[in-house]
Amino acid sequence: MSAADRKAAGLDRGRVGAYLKERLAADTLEVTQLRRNVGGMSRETWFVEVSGTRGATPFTDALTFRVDHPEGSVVPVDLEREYRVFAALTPTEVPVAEALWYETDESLIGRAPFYVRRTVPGSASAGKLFAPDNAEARRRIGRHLAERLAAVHTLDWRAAGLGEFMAVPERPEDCALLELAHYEQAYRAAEPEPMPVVEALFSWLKRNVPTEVERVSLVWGDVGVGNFIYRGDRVVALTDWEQAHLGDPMKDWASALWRGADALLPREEMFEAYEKAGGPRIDEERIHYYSVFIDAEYVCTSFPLLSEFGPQGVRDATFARLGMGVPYMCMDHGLGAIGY
Amino acid sequence: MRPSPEELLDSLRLSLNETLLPKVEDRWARYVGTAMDLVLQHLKLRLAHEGDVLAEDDADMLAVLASLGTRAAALAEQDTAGTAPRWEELAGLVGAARTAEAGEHGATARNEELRGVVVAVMRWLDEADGADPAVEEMRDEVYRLVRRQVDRTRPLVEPLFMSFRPVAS
Repeated sequence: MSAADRKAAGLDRGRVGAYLKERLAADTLEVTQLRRNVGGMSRETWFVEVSGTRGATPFTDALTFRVDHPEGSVVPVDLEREYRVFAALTPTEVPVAEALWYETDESLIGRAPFYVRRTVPGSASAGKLFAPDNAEARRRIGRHLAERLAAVHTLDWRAAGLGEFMAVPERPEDCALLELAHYEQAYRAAEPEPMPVVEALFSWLKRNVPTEVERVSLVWGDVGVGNFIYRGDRVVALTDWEQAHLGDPMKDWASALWRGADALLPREEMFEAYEKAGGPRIDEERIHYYSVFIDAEYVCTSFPLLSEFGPQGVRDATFARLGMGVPYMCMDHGLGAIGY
Repeated sequence: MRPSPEELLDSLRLSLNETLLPKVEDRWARYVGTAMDLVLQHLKLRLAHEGDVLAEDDADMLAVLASLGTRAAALAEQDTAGTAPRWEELAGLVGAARTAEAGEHGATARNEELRGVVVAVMRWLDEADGADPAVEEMRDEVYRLVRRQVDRTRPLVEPLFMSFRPVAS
């Protein structure tokens, strides 16, 4: 994409204010804060705080806008699917930010599609959580996270409507193979340079696919510190559902451990809390398998960013860093995990 | 021409880190600035070492492919019953690497061409999986090559690595 073709980045405070005044049926409305989230890179996340009046009644609200980068999403999952996951989970016992609406009209705020959810008060900051004097709160949050994970994995996903738009594994092997096919396709579609190490990971994952799974669950898909909101010592919302799917719950444990959730609470204690809360039996072998899977998945979501560098243009330096830093790190890690 | 490319990269990093970034208050802009610094660190390493890495990588791949080709040709001769994997196919794949003229393309293109042959070999081995114990031995040889490749590249890209593990602020 050339610089001339690139759409203006960011959100316009005036347009967002005018749009929300209409959408929230307010008589007056002011955007008191508009801030882009630093961190998650799959899409843009904007925090919008407003105050206004309806009739004589003043109100405030805190909303979160999710929109693809001007060049598209980093993850090979469209925005509407992500919105549907939030919408399906909103009335369930799995705590998520309330999904409000999905928009496709670019004339509204200058970007589309986008969706809006209500911001959950609390923090996702690892920095605060890992402050030196916070050890006991970390342990309690680690335990609560494990219990929340059990709630995700025991959710009646059919009743929640998730089976209507997520691929349903018919055999135990499909829990991994359906997702692997999805990510491999996204990787190959970007026509990357030949990468023997990536082929090695794909090959190993296909040759070692688990043939047993205790139950097909909703899989959160990206579990870790930074991907949940906590308040005090309670986990009050789970975020980052873009890679959610139906499959093996052990994949979430692989993700959690890959991202260092055991820095909250030792893994054995997390497992114990999870099983005590009704979560499926822990299987270390499958967790190991999915640890390699996650390396491959990150390669597939990040490496294609590099295909957008070429004679037609370049992307922001954050994408160069992301497109190289994450995949090469994961290739190294994944290869080690399969014994090389 | 002076300053050298390396010195110019150092100059850019100096300006970025000591003049620009301390004055940037917007968190997203700081994040982008930090990414720029990491890319500059990577570039410096790449300018200094990429040529050697590619040459070493090419030589390693050619040696492994030649070894696989020799073994595949011998196995093809031994297989009179025609029940084993089609070793002559593998020998043919490997032969493509030998016939490519070194120096015909740029170093990156040549390296990618050879990696493409390695990928083709890996796919062939996957298709022949279980048909002969030699397949697993050859795969092991290729995977050990892949580990060496990753180890060669790692020092160049390590500044860009991104930990997902939690850290205290």
